[in-house]
Amino acid sequence: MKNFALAGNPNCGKTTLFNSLTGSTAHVGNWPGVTVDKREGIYKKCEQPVNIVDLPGIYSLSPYTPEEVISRNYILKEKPDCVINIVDATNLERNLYLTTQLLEMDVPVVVALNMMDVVNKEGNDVDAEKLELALGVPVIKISALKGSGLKELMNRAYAETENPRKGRSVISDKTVDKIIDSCRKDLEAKNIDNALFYALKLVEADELVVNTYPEVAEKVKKYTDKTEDKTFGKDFEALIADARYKFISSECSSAFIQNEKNKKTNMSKSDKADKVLTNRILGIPIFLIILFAVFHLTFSENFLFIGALLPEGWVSCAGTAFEGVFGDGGINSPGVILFNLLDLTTSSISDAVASAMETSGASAWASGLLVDGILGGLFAILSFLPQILLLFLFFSILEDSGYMARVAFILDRIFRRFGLSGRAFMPMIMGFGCSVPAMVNTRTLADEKERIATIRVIPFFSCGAKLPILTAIAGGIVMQFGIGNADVITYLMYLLGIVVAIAAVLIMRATTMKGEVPPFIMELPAYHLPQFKSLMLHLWDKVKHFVKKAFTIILASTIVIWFISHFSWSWGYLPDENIDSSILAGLGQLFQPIFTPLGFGSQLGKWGWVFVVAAVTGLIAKENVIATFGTLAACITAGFVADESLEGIDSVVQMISATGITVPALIAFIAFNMLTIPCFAAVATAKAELPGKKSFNMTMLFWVVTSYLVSAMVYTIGSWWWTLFIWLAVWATAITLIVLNNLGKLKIPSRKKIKEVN
Amino acid sequence: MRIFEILLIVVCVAVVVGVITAAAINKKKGKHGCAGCTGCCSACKGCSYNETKREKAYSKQKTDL
Repeated sequence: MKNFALAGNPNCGKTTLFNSLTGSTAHVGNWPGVTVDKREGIYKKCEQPVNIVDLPGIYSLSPYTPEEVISRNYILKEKPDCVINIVDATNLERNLYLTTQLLEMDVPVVVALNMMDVVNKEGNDVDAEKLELALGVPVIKISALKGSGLKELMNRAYAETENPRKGRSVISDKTVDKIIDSCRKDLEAKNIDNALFYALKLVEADELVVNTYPEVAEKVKKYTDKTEDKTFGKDFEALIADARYKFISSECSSAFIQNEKNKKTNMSKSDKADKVLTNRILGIPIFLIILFAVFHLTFSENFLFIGALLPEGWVSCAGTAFEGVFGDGGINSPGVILFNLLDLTTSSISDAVASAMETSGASAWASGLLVDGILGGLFAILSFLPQILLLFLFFSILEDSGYMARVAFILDRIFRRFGLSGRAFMPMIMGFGCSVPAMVNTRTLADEKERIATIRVIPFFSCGAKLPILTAIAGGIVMQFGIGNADVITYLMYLLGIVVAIAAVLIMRATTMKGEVPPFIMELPAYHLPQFKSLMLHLWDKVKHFVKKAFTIILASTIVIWFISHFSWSWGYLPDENIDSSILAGLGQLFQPIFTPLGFGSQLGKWGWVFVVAAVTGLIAKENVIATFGTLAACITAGFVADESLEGIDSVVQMISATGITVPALIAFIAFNMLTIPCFAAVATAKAELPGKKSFNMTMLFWVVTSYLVSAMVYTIGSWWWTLFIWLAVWATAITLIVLNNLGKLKIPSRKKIKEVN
Repeated sequence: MRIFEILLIVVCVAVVVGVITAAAINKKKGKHGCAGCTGCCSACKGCSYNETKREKAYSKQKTDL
């Protein structure tokens, strides 16, 4: 099978083209650096099926970043039958820089002028024939998004594979022409493929190539030592880069036909929007408002705060079909309406199963296992699916529209002060969806210490799996204590995660992870309306995995939890009322004292162990926290209320009543679950992505210590306001010590020296 | 004990054993599965551990041009 590689600048539409050609559903984002690894798919509409390889976006073939190494090595080593170079036609000159380098390789190249729909919409055009003449390879106009020109592109690419191609240089500079040609001949004499490419890289003093061909490199060195350019001196890399741009400017730029009107007004719509959205002063407040609006639409039981304008008890729908639409004071947000609808359905199923069990004369344990254990645990989680999807939909819209790339730009200014570049924000934002791909995405960060620090704080950006914890407990606080709004509490908890992440990075970069902050250069993509298909694919991915997880790991966990909560250490069955003598209770009670400083330890008495058990089961998958409540709530209720299945928020309310837990302790419980060791999958990914075992062990310790400290702070300050001053004094001392140490005024003996003294 | 109750226990045991076995097999194959992941799979190489490890050693590739 023939192999075609897709190569191009970041965010030029490679993955969109890859998806269009192969029918794949690879993640597409409107920001540079979505693809950090190559992926493959099959195109079936040519004479023979073709294997398509989507390479990460690169600006050049110099090995400065992992993506550049992956792409360059693939083309040089795997020798694809054709390279399809995707060029963003809205940004022709800059994109052609990579093209000039691809042309130097001994591989057929076809240039795909992507985003022609946008170019034409703006009244501009590109003369493909003129460009084809200048480059010497086929140039095809396409729109990966609209699917136009793809067939022609693939047919031309397929035809090109029949004609072997020798590399061609566009460099025309008398200072280097001779030496490039001489090196090429030397390499060709040794039967080395891509001789021209390597010859140019030797003149550019590319470290990898110099080490591979030391004899030819020596020859180049002798020449460069005695040669000097008037403008660039001995910087031959800059000289060659300049020569490439001179070629693009003289031979290719005129192929872009700009509308007369556009020539006068250089400001695009995106530029105009950016004047406001990336404004130095307004940028961050706008971001916070947008974020709040997203949470309000998803979690609020008082949509648009309309309840404040309405008289009390203006509508009473309790017990009617509209119960889920109207909250206590006003109208529910779309997220809450969907949640209530699903909750109503799951409750009906639970009730129907319970009554069927009763009618069939099933024993109490069987009914308890099926209704309270399995269904209670599963439905406690599944009922949050609409809110998770809605939140994810909003994040996808913000990402696809190009706004999130702006946020990275806005936050770079702040991040830089804390020792991170704005580039680290992208993996963090991905962390709102799931920590696993977010940690993988940190490969785009060049500085290793910055990468480690980013991996460590990614779990603080609350992922979809943690959402049920936030929503259920926030809902429980509102229902039981009548404090605040669920959306405000959830929003503030998300912000707490972000603040802790920033503070943690600040401390790390000032102590163990010191290093220079690499410059952040990112091309801001043009704003565009998110693609409906892409959004739906994101959501479908989410639904598929959520349901799959619910019916595997969560289901298995609820069964195990139910069993060990209904058997004593002597393996005797325990009815619901006696589960505080169970194996699970025993284990929970053993660890309960550890959580006393966090508010959900020994002070909770008889049922306090449930919170400890929930936090521990959350280490398998975060959804287990609320699934555990769902499984155990009905059993605890059996002690004082008639048997009923409890799900989601109701189960939390029941736990609050049974344990007498306070609001600060509940907030501390959320904080602990948000910040502690993430789920198994994220831990495994962190282990794979971190550079060594020591670094991984330190990361695990970091998660435990941070979650414990922050939760203890939240609980103690919330319970006794004056402890704020104690915490402030502790932090002030710690910061002072760090600053003094960094100024060299504090001499801490190293471990080695201490050993020597002993 | 009724048939229904026996069946319930069998199903429960099968689910738990199945999930644990699947996780163990995946781990042996070098995949950690999606136990804690709620999506974004298309963007994620977390489950393709062999590849991840290979790419992780990109610095090795650097010297192996």
